[in-house]
Amino acid sequence: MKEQNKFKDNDKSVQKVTVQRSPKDVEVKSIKIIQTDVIKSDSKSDKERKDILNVDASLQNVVEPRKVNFKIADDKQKEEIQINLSSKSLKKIKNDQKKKLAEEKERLKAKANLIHSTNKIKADMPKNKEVVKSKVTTENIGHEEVKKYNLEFMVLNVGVIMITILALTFSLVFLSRSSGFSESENRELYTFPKFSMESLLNGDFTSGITDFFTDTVPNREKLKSMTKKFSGYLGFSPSNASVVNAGTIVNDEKFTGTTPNNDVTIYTGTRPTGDLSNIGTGSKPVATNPQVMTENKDNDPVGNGGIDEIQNGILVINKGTDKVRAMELYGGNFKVGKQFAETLNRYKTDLGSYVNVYNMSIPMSVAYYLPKEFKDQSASVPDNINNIVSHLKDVVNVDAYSALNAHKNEYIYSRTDHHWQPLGAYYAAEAFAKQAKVDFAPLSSYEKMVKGNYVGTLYGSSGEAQLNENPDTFTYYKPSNEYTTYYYQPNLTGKEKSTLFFDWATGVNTYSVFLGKDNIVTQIDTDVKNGRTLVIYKDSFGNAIVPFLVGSFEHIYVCDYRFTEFNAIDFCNQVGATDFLFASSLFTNTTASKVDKIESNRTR
Amino acid sequence: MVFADLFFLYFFMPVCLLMYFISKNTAYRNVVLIFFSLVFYAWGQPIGVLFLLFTTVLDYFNGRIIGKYKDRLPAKFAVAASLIINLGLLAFFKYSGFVVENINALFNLTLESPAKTLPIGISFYTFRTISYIIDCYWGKVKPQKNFGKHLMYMSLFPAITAGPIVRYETVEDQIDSRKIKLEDISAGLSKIILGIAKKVIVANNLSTVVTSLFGDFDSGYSLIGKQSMAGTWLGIISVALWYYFDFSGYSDIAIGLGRLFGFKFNENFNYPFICKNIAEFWQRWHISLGTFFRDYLLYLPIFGKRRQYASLFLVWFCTGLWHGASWNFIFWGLYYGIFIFIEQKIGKKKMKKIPLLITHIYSKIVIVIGFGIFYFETLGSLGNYFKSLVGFNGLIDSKTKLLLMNNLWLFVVAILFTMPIVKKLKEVMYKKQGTLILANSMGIVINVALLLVSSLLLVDSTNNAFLYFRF
Repeated sequence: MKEQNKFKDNDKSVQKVTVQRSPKDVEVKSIKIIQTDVIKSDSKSDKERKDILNVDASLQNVVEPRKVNFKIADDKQKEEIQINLSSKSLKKIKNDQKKKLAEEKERLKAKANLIHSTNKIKADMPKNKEVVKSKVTTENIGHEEVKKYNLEFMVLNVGVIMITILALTFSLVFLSRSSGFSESENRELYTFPKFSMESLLNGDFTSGITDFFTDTVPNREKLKSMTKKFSGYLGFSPSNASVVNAGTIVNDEKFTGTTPNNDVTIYTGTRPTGDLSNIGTGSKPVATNPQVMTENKDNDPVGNGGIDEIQNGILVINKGTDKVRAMELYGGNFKVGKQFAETLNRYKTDLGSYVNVYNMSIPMSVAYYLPKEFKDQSASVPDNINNIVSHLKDVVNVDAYSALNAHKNEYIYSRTDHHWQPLGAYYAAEAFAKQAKVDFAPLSSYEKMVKGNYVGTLYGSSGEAQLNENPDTFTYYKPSNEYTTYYYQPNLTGKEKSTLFFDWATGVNTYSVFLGKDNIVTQIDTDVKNGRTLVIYKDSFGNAIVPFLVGSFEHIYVCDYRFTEFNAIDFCNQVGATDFLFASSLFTNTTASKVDKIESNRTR
Repeated sequence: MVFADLFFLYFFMPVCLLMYFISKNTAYRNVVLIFFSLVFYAWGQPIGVLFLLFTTVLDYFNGRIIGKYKDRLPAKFAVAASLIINLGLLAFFKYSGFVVENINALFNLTLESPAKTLPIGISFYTFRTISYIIDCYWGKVKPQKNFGKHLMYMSLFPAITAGPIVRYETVEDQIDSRKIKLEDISAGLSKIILGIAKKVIVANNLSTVVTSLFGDFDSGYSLIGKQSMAGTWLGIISVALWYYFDFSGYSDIAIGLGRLFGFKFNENFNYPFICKNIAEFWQRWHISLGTFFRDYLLYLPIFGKRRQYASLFLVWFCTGLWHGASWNFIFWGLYYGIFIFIEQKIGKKKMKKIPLLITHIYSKIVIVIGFGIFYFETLGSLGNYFKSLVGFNGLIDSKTKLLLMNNLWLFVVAILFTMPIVKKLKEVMYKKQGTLILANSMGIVINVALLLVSSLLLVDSTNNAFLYFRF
């Protein structure tokens, strides 16, 4: 009994056992000490049984050397082993001094405890085992009945899972698969890889199989629209809004200056038209302009849809209604805007006073439809345009922002695509025609064309299922006057006569109704006889305004700054341009790599 | 090949299981395992197999030498050779680029990194083979005499690419003979499904939140420079949860697959976020790595009398460096080292006296900030991170609020499942027959539902590589 009491005292403090043993014995010893604790509390109430479990859980930790600190106490290589028992019942050592004095005593005590505990373990073994087992392991509960149930459920579990896996395996392996173009993703799906020794060794063949297997899952489009819906269940949309994609760094610069009154005189005379076949590509030496910027290798994919123009976060608003709208958030950049303006100024200097140079920085939909509560997520479109305008010199500004703002309640932007609607382009073109002092045909004179079921690029890049469920309508207008359209390759070879409208464009690429694709140069000869020749440099936003100018200029040339391989100034001189319009989105005009590219078109 | 992938789940795994279970012969099964393991490993990077085979052959012979010349000079030589060559290869492939980069920065040079590719899983299999060789030398395990069995241990596909670092002693008996009970198959399949669900349903969606707030490595973490304080905290909490669900999900799949084949790997995660201090966190997080450093590095008598603290920081330096060849990982390791040092200085008894609420808050804050250090791999973004963390870029912004709301259930579920609620629920329900049946039926329904939802999400998966593949 005396032993027992001593043990209790001991239990409340950290046990310090000093032994002279080899480390191997330590583990055994520590286990035993803890087990005495387990057994001692064994006969107690439920709450304390929980403590047993804690001790038991920590038992494994204690056995691990981490809990046991080895210290070299002195030269005799005597090892002092400190074992900290981590149980709630354990308390702090109250008197270190006393303990040190009692060290030798404790050693003896511990030995005695060991003997005691070993006996006790033997005596209590079955009971102890059962308590610990039923508490710690969840799967092997003691009763036979439960075991029986568990067995039945295991059979069921394995059966159901294996049937599911095998059924899916069977359908994925044997159902027919097809590659081809994916509308929603605007890309070609993977095909089964071609086998070669090289592709096998570098891993292309095997990873190609994996890609093919996932990319051509039977019923893929249907399954994918289901997966898109899933993200809607991850939370809820306050104010019916959600945000996706890597976000936008917003430069919250405010334009506080005033834009100068652009009093540029418009030259309305004519210039002789040259022959395109004489245009050299890249023959002109690079101008010795000190401000030439480095040419960035633009990795824009060749094609249409302008996916490369979506690099920002996308905000989806009006969710849960048929007016659900996605918009690309805008970062803004005054510094690059200034560079863009200066680039256009140099175009003007190079082209001379007989060529009118215009800037039309086209706003993105975020300019008009961003809810107030998200104002901090996008830079101000008008401020960034005004910043550009304030740096223009002898370049005419076309105020597309105001022209569109007056009609922002009309269908001027797509809800599911990052581009505008042709109607928006019409209002911008009207503003341009006014500035250029040319005739402009009223909307009523056009033939109205309507395409339904238009799910644009923002569905693919946001994955917002509601966009897919509420497609846009695409309304475009065909001019009524006579004209002929020719297309060239980006190096001005391969001239061919074709049509201005590609009425068969569908799905995500509906916007390519105009000009078909971006990596071409377009020439339009019209029945207008005013001697004016317009050269448009543009990104994909600019495509939509072309049809509305067919009734205003005698010749129109459309070049995409991303793909042309010739010098823009030479080109304008060669075709006898009287007007040079830069019609691109504000996004392009404030992105450094794109402005570099625009500059390189002038200097190459 | 990765686990959370349709091709793996619905082609490789079923074919492998079928081949494995058509015979009960252990030798046959070993051959099947080796074959499928090598195919699995070679799938993404065929050349890597050569490095794996090299290490396997090398340490097979080293093991034999150690067994033959117990404690004598050739055995010591074999251990030294194994350590030098294996750690040398790891250093060459993983760290030479980092070293060259720093030399270039210091001396303004433009040297090229000598290592072009990183064999997949080299960090894991190198540690595995080191543990085998040292354990052989210490006499904890008997050297494997059969080369095929040694190859099977080294290439075992469930754990080849991203751990857990399975010790030879854990599977020693199972290499020779494996008994697969119905219980193993049932528990193994459930575990695989749990792991896939963790990865595909939780981790992948959390990663989207993180990139929306911070940007990623490829974009130079561009967003952190302007992130609000709330946004930064939401981001690092997401990072912590994301890494937990990603890596513990992977470990679950590995353990589950191992169990199907009759191997019992140790758990690699034990609800790390319920810890009360940082030392405890590391006993619960990536357990196989922590125990590796503890057993093979912490107690090496290389620092004389002062070894206790010197080894502590050596261990944490190595833990950081092991995760990647970049300064932020080293900072990250030492960061934990400092807190563990402080905790040791305070002492266990005093730590215990601190109210639970405070220890929980303290440990969670330290861990979450730590994951931020882990995430930002460039020094510039790391600096921006600390600025944004304390509110240099405003307190809150509308996007953070929106992202939180858009993913609210995701966060709630993720945080709930960092705690052992399912385990506790099971314990309670297993007490009565009625609830036991309910629990088991629910288990089966949930298994199938998770499998189907995960598979559906895999159809549209783009960000599916497991994080720990790079380590």
